[in-house]
Amino acid sequence: MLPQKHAHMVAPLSMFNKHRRIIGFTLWLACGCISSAFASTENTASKVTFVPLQHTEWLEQLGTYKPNIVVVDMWATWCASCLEEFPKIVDLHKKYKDAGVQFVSMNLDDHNDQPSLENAEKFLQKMNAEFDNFWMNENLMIAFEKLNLIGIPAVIIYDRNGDERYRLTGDDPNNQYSGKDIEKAIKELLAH
Amino acid sequence: MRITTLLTTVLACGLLFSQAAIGGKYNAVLNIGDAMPEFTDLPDISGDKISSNDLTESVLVLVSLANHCPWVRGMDQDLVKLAAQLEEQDVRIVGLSMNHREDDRLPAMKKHAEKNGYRFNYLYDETQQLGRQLGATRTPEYFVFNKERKLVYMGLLHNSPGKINSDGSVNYINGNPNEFYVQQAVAATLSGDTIATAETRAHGCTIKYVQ
Repeated sequence: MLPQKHAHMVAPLSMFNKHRRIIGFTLWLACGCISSAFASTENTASKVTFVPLQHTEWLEQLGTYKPNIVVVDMWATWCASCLEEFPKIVDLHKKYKDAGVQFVSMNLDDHNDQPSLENAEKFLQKMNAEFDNFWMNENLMIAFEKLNLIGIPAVIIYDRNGDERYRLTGDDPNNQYSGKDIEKAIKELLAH
Repeated sequence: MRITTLLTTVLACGLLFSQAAIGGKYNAVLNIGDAMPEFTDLPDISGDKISSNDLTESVLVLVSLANHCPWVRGMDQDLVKLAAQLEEQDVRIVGLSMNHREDDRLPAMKKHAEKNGYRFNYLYDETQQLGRQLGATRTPEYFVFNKERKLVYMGLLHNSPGKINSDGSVNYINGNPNEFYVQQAVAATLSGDTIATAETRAHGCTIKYVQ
């Protein structure tokens, strides 16, 4: 059962054929561009989006960010460290949003867990996460596999060509990342 | 002759280095077949101090836990059930907590164990040394060692991780679990059979290590 609150965005993905899904996704992208253009007239809450994606759509979405540097924060409401680290992402977004750096959050709550997804959206609004916020609309274990994730929080950073350059994780006990590592990576990519 | 010896040494060193650097498929430190890290005098919720030398059973199951973690709490009863099933066998289960959050430290561990019916050792690895040596990064994450204390399995308890909800109910990602990796690994180790699945991608909260 898909979350009712997001059903208007999810229903086309499950009901229509592949071509219609692509058209729907393209329309969503177009709407996103239009809404961004009029962002200055909106209130703070409406600037925070929270959109479901499947992995193939996520890869398409990543391609649209070129030639920006892309910083992707993988998080979930069940992950205490993710919630603690999230304000750093918001701060970095404010600092680098006009420097050609696109910030994105990818939520990894269970796609069938409506209360958690609603909490995730509330959290994003509370954080004023005024960048692209997605949630992975797939089985959670499969999503981790497809994203090649072992644990979260994790931050993946892509260069201007869309190539993955940094994967900051907690997967090695002796080399877990901090907020400083994210900014260091951004500065290094901006310098080239 | 000397060149051959030199090449062999270089190759052996390279293999050793690559093994140490790679770890397992989902573990940066430890791989299947590696020796269990030794530990000394870790405080248990019982008040005792436990060392690896105290554990003499044929199979040892170490599991990283965190009281605060919804995935640990979601599968607490699965762990308690496993402990009950293995109670009559030559198997020891030892829980480990490594985080420095107040709700993951020893006083909270005691309360959590009592509330959830833990009937196994639950040790606090405050220095995080054992956790680091295990390469444990998620909770819960299971490590099964054989009589020779070589790692024979690491990863998930079963194939459907469960997360606790605010109302106390549990959501299993894949419905009711139907593949029980730790039980299978323990049974195969006790009987001398091959373990079908030796490593899985553990799912849960990340353990925060002091850097």
